[in-house]
Amino acid sequence: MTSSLTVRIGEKTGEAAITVTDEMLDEYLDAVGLPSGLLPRHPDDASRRALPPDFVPKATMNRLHAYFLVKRIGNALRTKHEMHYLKPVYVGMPVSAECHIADIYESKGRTRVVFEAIYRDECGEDCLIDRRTITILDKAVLGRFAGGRP
Amino acid sequence: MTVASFVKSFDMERMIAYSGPGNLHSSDEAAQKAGLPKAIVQGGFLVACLSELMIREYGEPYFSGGSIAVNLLKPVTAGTSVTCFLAEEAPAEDADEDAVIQCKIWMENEDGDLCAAGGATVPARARGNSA
Repeated sequence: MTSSLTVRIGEKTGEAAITVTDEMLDEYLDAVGLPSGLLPRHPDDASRRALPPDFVPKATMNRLHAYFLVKRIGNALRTKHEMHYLKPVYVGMPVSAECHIADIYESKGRTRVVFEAIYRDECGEDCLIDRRTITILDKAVLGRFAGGRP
Repeated sequence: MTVASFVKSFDMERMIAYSGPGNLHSSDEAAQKAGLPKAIVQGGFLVACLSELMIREYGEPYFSGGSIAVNLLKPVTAGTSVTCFLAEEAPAEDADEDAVIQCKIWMENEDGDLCAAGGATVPARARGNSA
């Protein structure tokens, strides 16, 4: 099944840079229903909230891999998601990221593609590692949709 | 052992707010064009809910040294709710102060079906933050 794929392991899928504002964070908190009071504050500036650790990957996913998915792979469902939070990211803190294809494999007759993005702060220190596995949607997968995720 | 849970509901308005309008996570029509019966909650949103449980339970240490890994097992659709669970695993007898707290995390739909499951870790210094 992977023979129809034109992507390869190690291929860069996108890059992104983001500096989250209070307005962006509040919009996200409203969407997910997470109370702002649960967020830690910057040790040197209590006005700056830490971002929910999953927020930056969510905010940058289009540039890192979603556009790549649409253009190069097609419809797919995320079936595994792993994140490692190395240091907090705060409002107003610039973060950049690069994403590449870390693996492509077959499992249960379906093609899986693993994207890995590494986020770094202005000093180049790693803040966060995001690794997500998507399963390509084909007719066989869709036919089994009612029975659960592929 | 810590065991925590909370309920999260997904209406279409919330799904649009999270995923943006007009895609298979926020529009039944778009989902059907992709071959799905109706719009499904974006996988990242489900992970965010389980991550919220870790934030509620452990606070700041989770942001600096924590991790989460979730298998998305069954789609969740608009107009339904899920219950998210966290169970702290017992530390090894020889665990040192630098060890991490390991948790099982999972999510069930209204029928009790497992929709997502995996694990999460947080630095052991978070133990004092645990409820």
